[in-house]
Amino acid sequence: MNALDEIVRSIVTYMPIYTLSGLGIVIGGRAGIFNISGEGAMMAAASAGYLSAVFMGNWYVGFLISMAMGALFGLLLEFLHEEMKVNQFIAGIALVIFGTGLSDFIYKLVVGIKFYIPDAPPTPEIKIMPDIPILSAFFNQNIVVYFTYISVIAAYYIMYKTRIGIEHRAVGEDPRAADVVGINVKMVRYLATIIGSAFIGAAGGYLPLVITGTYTPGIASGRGFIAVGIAIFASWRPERTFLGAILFATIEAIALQMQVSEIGVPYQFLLMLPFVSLLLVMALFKGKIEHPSSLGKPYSRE
Amino acid sequence: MKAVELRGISKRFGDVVALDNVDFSVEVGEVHGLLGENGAGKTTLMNILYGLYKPDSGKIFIMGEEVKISSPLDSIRLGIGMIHQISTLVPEFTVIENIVLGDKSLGTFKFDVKLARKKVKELADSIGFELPFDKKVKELPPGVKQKTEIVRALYREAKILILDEPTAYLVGDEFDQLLRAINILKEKGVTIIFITHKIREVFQACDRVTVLKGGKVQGSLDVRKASEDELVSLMFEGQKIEVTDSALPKMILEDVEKTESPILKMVNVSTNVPNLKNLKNVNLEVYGGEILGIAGISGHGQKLLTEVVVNPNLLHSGDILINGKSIKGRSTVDILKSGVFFTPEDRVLEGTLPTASIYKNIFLGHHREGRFLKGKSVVIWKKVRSISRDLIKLFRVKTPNEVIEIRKLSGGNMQKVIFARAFLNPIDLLVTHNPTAGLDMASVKFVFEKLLEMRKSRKAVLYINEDLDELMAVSDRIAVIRNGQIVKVFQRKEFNKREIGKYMAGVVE
Repeated sequence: MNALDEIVRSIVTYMPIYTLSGLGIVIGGRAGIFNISGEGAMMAAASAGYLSAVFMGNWYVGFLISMAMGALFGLLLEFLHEEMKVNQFIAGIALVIFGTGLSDFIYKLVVGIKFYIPDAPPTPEIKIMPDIPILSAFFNQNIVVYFTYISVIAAYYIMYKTRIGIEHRAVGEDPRAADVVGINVKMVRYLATIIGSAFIGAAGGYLPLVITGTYTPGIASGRGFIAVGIAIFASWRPERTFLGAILFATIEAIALQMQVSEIGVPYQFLLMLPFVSLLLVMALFKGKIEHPSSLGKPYSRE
Repeated sequence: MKAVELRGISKRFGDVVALDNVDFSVEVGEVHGLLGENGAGKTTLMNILYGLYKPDSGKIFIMGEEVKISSPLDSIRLGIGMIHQISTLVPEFTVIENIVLGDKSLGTFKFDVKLARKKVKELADSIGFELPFDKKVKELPPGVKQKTEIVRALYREAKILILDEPTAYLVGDEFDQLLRAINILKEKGVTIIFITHKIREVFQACDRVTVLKGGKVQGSLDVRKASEDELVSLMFEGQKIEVTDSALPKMILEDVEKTESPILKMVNVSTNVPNLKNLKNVNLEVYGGEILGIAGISGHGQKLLTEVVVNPNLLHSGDILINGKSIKGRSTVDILKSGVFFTPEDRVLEGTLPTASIYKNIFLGHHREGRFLKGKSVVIWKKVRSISRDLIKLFRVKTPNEVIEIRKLSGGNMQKVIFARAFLNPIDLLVTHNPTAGLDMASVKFVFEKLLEMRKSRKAVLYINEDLDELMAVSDRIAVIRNGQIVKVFQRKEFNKREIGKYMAGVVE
C-alpha cells in the first residue's frame, strides 16, 4: 500500500508538467496555431523562473516569471507567423533552438560556473484532506497541482460553454467563417498563442521550482515535444489532455521507480520509454484523432 | 434614398486590375442585380463593401453617409450582410451555433442559445425557411447551408443583403424558395444585391441591374425596360460569341455515329475508401462519339467516379473496361498510356504543379516518352520547350513565354495548359471534372469546343460538372449520381433542369 501510494503520489507530482504544457499547446491549436515551440519555451521558462525565484527569494515570483517567459515565446511565435509570414513549424523549431540556447545563456550569465548551486525556495503545499492512502495523493499536494486541476476545468468550460470559447474554436476550425461574422481572427490567434504559451511556461518553471529544486541544462529533456504528442492524442480537447498527461506521468513515474529500485534495466532504456510510448499511442489511436480544421494554416483575407 | 453608394472604387491584385474606378449605387428596398462573367470583378466589389478587401481608392456611402469599412465587423454594424458563394459556416458547429456566432450580446462567459433560438426560429419562419437547428453544418446540403447563412445575416439585423451567386448550388425547387424569400425581404424593406452571371436570373429576381466587365461598369439599367440582347451585349461587348440566357456559349451538337462498343464500361463498380463518398454498384457505358455528363450535388461520389478510372487500386468490387480491356492489375501509367486522360476537380492543386513553369507542367506525365529523352533518362529540355511553345500558340494560352510559373496564369489559361497536356498524344477517353469552374465565357467556349472535338472524332468523354446548365449544353446523356449511386440516366431529348434537379436532391428515388 505504501509503495503504491508512493507511485500515485509521484504520478500526480509529474502530472502538471504534461497537463500544463499539453493544455498550452491545445489552447493555441484550437485557434489554428500549431505550437511546437514548447520545448524551447519550457527551457527558457525553467531557467528564468528558477533564477528569479532564487534571487527574489520568492517561489511565486519564480512561477509567475516562468509563465511570463512562456507568454513571451507565444508572442514571438505568433509575431513571426502573423507579421513576418513565417511558416508556423519553422518558427516553432527556431524557437526551440532559441529557447534551449537562451536558457543556458541567462543561467550562465547570472550564476556563472559555481560548485554550489542554490536551491529554489520550497513550493507551497496545500493540505485539504485527512491522510487517506492513494486518494490523498491527488489532493494533499503542491499548489501547482491545484492550479492544474483548475486550469483544465476552466479551459474546458471556457472552450465549450462560453461565447469567447466558441469564437476561439471557430477561428481554429474555419478562420474565414469567423472573420465574416466579425470575429477578430488575428487577435484571437495572438491571445490563444500567448495564453497557451504561458501555460507551457508554467510547465517549464515547474521542473526546477518543484521537481528538481534546481536548474540543470537540458532540463525539459524532450517533454515539450511529448506535450505536442499529448495534444494530438487528446484530439485537442482539454479533458483528454489531462488523461494523456496522467498516462505519460505514469510512464515517467514508473521509469523513475525502476531506476531507483535497480532492477538491472539500463537507465538509457528507461529514458527512452516516454518517447517509445508516444509512438505506440500515436499508432494505436491513429484514425480516432481529430484536428481543428485550420490547424497549422495561415489566414489572410485577400 | 441610396442604401449603398460606391464611388470610384479601384482594386489591384499584384499586376492584375480587378476593379477600375467603379461607381455603383443601390436604392433602398430594391433587388439590384450585379451581372458579369467570371472574373468581371463582382465578388471583389462586394467583398470591399463587406470589409473583406481593402480598396486601393474610392469612397463608400451607406444611407447617404460616408463610412469607413475595414472589417466585416464594421459592415455588420452598418447593417450589411453577405451570403458568400462558398459557404462561410463552421462545418463542425451546429446550425444554431453558426447563426449566433459572433453575437457579443450573448455575454462573454455565457453561451445561451436557448434565448436566441426563439428569435432565430421567428426569423426563419417569417421568410418560410425550415432549418435543422441542432444538426452539424457539415451534414447539410448546400441549399440548407445557404438558408442558414441568410437567417444568420437577418439575425445580425442586416438591412442590406448581398447574395453572391446564390443559385450556383441550388437544385429542384430551392430556387423558387429563394425567390419567395427575396420577395418577402423586399416587402420588409431589405435592400438586396444579387450577384450572378446568368442573365435569366436577372429577369427572374431583380428590379435593376448593373453590368460589370473586366473590372469596369458597363451600365446600369431598369430590368423591366432592358432586353436580353442588351444585357448580353453589355456583358460580352467586343467578344464575338453567341450566348444563351444562362450565359453559356451556344454550342451545336452535330450528328455523330457512335462506336459499336463502349470505350469506357463500368460494371458494378464499388469502392471502399475511408473519408470519401464511395461508389455503390455503378454501371455506366460511354461510347465513342458521345459525351456522358454526370450531374450531382458536390460530394456524392464524383471524386471517386473520376479517379477510379485511372487508379485500379481504388476498385473494391466490379470491373472497369477501357476499349474492352480490364484495368484490374494495371498501373495508372499503363492506363494513361493506353489513351486515357484525366483532369481533376481542383485545377490548381491537383491538376498542376503551381510553382513550376508552363513547359514543365505540359511535360508532366509525358516525361517517360522516348521523344523527350536522350538515352533512358536525360531530358532534352530544348525539345520540351519548343513543343510547349507550339502548344501555347495552338491552344491560345495568354502568356508572355513558356517559363512563367503556371499559378500566375488566369483560371482559363491554366485550363488551356492542362488541356494542351491532355491532347499532346491522341487519346480515346477524356475524364474531366468541373473543367469550366470559374472560367470566363471565352474559356468556357474553348473547353466546350475541345469536348465536342473529341466527340466529333468518335472518342469518349466522361464529363462531370456541378452546373446543370453547362452539362446540358454539351452532353449526349446525363447520369445523375447520388450517394455514390447512379439513380437515373436522361437522354438529351429528355433534358429538363427541374426534373434532373429532383433526382440530384433526392426528391424522387
